[in-house]
Amino acid sequence: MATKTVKPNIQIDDLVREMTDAEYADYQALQVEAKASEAEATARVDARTSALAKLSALGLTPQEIEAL
Amino acid sequence: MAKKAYVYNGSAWEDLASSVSDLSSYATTVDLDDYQLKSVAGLTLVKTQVIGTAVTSVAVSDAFSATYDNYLILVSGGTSSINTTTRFTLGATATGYYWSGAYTSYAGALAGTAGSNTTSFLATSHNANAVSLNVFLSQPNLVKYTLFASEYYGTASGDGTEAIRGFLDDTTSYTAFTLTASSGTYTGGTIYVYGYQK
Repeated sequence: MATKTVKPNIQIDDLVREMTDAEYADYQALQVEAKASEAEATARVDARTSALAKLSALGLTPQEIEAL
Repeated sequence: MAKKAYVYNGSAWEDLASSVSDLSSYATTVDLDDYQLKSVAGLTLVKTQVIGTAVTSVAVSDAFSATYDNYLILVSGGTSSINTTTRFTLGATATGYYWSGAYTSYAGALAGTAGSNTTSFLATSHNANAVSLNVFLSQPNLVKYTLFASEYYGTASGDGTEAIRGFLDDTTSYTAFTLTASSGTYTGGTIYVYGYQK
């Protein structure tokens, strides 16, 4: 038996209703993009933190690292 | 007994009633009220919208008009089911959002984030204790690009802050905008839309 997908609710001014198929498709695209964007930002922060730690381990001071 | 008012004519004080016989060039009460309103009301509250219960997105219509070119949008007081980001869109447009920001984590690590021709602007982060927003929009109602600026407040200890800037690559005249949680839902809180006095 086919099951109906329960879509999230959207609010338009004071009206709250379930998303239409088109709205849900837009929302899913936004979610995919948001996850990729957040993962990319996290990876950049992690890479920079790792790089700074390696430079520090090589003996560079915070001022020298900042000057790079 | 009524007291008389005097003015100084440069060499002596004289009766105001005899010195100023013609008041036609002086400001009226209406003039002064109008001047005071303009000087005080740099921002005018255009619309408020209370956020409902367990909604993933909130569309606010009739927010922008020809009365103002520039807008401030604030949100406060709500809660959300999960710690995640808030995305911002204009009208029904789902493409053409360009943005970037200089991100600093609360641990002090720097990183840039960006979106090129995306489905939305990244606006901020929210969680159970903070559904907050601070967005500046330039000329959304004009037939020109809409310019966007937002303060990203990370709402988790491992997150950070970011000043995000960007533009929407189309010249549609917009009257509405939508806030969308990238996952989970919002409950409660109020959206405030202010117009900058021209």
